[in-house]
Amino acid sequence: MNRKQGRVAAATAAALSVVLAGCSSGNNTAAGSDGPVTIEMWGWGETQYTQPIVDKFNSTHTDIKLKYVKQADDTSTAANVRNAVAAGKGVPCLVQNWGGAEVPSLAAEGLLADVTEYVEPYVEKGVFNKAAPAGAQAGGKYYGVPSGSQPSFMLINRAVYDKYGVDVPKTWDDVITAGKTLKKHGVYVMNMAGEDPSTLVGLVQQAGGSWYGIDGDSWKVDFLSPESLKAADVVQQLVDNDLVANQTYMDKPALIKYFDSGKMVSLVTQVWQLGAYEIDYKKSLGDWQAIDLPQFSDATQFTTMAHGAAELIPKGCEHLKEAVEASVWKMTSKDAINASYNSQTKSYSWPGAIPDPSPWVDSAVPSKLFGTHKSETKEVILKSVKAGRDSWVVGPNYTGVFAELQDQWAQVAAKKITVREALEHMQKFTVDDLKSKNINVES
Amino acid sequence: MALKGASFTVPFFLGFALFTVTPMVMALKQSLYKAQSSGLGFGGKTIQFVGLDNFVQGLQDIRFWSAMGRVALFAAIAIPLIQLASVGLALLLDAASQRLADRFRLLLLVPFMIPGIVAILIWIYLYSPVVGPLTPFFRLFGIEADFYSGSMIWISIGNLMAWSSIGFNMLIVYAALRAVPPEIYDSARIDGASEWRIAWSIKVPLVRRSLVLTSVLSIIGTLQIFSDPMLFRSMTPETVTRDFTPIMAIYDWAFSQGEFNYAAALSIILALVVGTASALFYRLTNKAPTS
Repeated sequence: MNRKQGRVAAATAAALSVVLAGCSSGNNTAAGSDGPVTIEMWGWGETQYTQPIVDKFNSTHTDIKLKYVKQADDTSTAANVRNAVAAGKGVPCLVQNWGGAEVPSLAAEGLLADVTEYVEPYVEKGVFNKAAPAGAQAGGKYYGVPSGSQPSFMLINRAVYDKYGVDVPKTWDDVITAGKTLKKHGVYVMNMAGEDPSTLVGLVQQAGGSWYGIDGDSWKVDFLSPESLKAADVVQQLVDNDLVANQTYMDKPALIKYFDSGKMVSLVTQVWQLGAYEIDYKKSLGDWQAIDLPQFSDATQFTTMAHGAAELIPKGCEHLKEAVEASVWKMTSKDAINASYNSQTKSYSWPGAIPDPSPWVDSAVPSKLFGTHKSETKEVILKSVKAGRDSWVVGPNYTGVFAELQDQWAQVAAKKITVREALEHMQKFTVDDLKSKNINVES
Repeated sequence: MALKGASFTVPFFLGFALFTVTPMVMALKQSLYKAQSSGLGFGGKTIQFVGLDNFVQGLQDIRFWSAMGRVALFAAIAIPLIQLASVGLALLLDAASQRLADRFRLLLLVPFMIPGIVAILIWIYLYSPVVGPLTPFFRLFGIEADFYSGSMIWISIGNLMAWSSIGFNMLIVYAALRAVPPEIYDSARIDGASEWRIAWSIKVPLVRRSLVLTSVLSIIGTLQIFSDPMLFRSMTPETVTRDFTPIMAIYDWAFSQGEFNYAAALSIILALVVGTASALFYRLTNKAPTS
């Protein structure tokens, strides 16, 4: 190779290394101005189960048409929405909320449209349950339509509990005690995936805590509140005593095989997961029992966490009013919920936003998973719905904070740091990050 | 005439301008701005020109530079080993009979033909301690191999990289070996040189240029390593953090945190580092006379 070629090669080499700067723009066309308004809806749910809802909507509405555009998965949905909003073209009007994303951080990012004037009338009419609206709000304004939350409860492998004579846990202390007994038999009481801090977050929510708060014109960040430390203590005891497995959710076949094996016997779960367990479990089918979510020992009333989510309405959507109308229909109408029937899991999408989901509870309980304990499940679910509380406030930088928390959590699961150390780190990280973004924060 | 010749490069340069130069210019521009919030942070963001602030922040970003150091160390160990294996295999093929060589050449190239992501997914399941076959296999010999542990992760990634790249490197070196006129070997043999001596003193020096090429390509590829650790992260997030490698850190800033301006600055810094490393290596290895 001569010198000139060498220089070209070096230039190519340097150029090849900048690959991330490219930026694509959406190419979906917005609806025309005459005739019915078309609302484009993005999500990653299988088309065969989403399309019936869309069809039902279109057959009962003349002025608005829904169009479902399936995305590959939640990460690509997030990327595509960011691109569309940045380009200002082909912006969808309804987007399924992707994992880890919360309305306040997306609103702060400038991704969402303020739809307060359209959502508030529905809230005042009482179409949503009490806990649901908070999840669609940021700083008192609505940036999406409340989709509510799923009731939480615990699943235990009752056959294994009985085999080793372990009592059904009522409190988190009971779970730890049960874990110590089960450990002697090579069985883990719970699973904590290294990538998923939801156990900790859920416990803080159940304790009634929140890492963020608003005080006037400033944020108050407190990762070391009494509620937070109470939750941390439970996690720390589970980790310190080696009572939990660390199976990742990413390796789904391995995870299901493991859950099915009887080596891990309790998990906090929600309604939507039951259908999958019913299909995937082979060996342990019929051994499981749904029980009330364990409580903190000093709890004064039965509480479950019910932090709501929202269907997002991105900035740049041209038909805000119609988008809200379509979304509210999806979340709250009987027609929509009935159209969400999934023939594989034999259940409906859980109507987490409405005040009374009881008509759909029966279908949410699979037939074989619970064996002789099947009849108790309905009560457990409804009790959890009633006890749902949402004290959780999310700050404008939660996306980054959650990613940092995931990495900290992984260190906790690997016993490299304590939960308290992770929380102390998060406190500093969050405050510094807010300051660097020029956002008011009390120190 | 010269113009006619140069016109053959037009398709390349068009693509180069559109897909490489344009994004680079856009990244450069983006890197000079910053999105700033105010108040509680919900009032939307204003884009401000901040000059080189993003670069200053990037140069002081400990986590970005520790990712860089981590990958540089890995490259310093993995690339020579892979090159050594490639040359060894190429020499063996060159020494073997034509028929045998053809058969093995194809076999060794098969991993390279498998798309990267597919290869990684295959290996992720091979390594899986629960459903993979390797862990029980090593257990037969009393070895507890956890391919996702902190001490093993780079070996696991390196093995995967070697598996998929040795075939390609070997092929380039092998092609260079076949281009050597056989008379040289004949005269060496007449002079009494052993096959070892021929390999070391004739073959290796003659394929040095190909080695430089494959090394530079490996350096560029390794410093930008992304998909391997990104997918491994799903199996072992406690080891492979979100800023485990420089590109992973950039990806995280851009696509999970939405900080495109800072991500653009970091990608330019990375481009400069990779460009410098490649140029330096090229310079150093090309200085000595070729034969």
